[in-house]
Amino acid sequence: MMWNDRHPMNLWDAFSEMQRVFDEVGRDFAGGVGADYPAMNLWSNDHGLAVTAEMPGVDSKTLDISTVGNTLTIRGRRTVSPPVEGAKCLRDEIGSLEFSRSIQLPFDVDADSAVADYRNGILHLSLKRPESSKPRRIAVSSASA
Amino acid sequence: MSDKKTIHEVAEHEKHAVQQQDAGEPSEAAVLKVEPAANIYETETDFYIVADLPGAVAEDVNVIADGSSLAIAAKAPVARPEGMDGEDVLRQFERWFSLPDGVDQSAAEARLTDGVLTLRLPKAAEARAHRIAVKGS
Repeated sequence: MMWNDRHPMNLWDAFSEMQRVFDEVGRDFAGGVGADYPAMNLWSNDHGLAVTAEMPGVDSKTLDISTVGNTLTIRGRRTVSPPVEGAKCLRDEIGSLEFSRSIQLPFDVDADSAVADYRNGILHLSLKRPESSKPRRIAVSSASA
Repeated sequence: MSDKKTIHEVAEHEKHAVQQQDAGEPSEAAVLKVEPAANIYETETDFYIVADLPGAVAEDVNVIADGSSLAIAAKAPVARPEGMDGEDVLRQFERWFSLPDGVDQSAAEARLTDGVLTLRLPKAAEARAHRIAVKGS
């Protein structure tokens, strides 16, 4: 029995496969997942930031989210088990993992006002910018006498 | 799951949608095409495919089995939060599998939980392993 996916094979598939192999090798050397997991998106405006992090199948109770200054760190754990007990695994691309990712934010954020929401496998974070770190217009006085 | 479209129609539809996005229509979203990671399991009675589709909701997931092919295709838009600068993000998942003989496609079931799709593909009765009783003389 064969489980050949990606058919028909094309150049893009070949590239994806190569990328996957590189990722797996990097993962083995790192002893866990790479520092680029989970994949994240970030939006900002003058008042704060919105961050999304893709982490399907994660129990939100395992998430540990912290900020220090302008550094955001997300730690968590994903536990993968067979859909039914005793099932034999024929292909194993999704494994159990512990992850930790830190990113630099464009400005300091107020940790107390952070709101986190995990839905459909994506963590949504909303972070406010404290008044003290907002840009200020400095009045220029003229010295004309 | 839908059995109204063929696998090739779905592929064409998805390709068209991506082309529209690439052309900046209907919205200017960053389109990221992803081949989802998947695990495959087997029991005496079923095969299972487990695939990561973060951000997808059940209505946006198409699982089409057609002969010896099975396609998983899904869209997962991450809208730019209101008032934020930047663009929307659209994840476009697609992956094809070749099915082994003896899968009862009409009895397949799919479930989506926390961005993880679990697909159960029951084996047809004749494809299951049978234990042969050995009689003593």
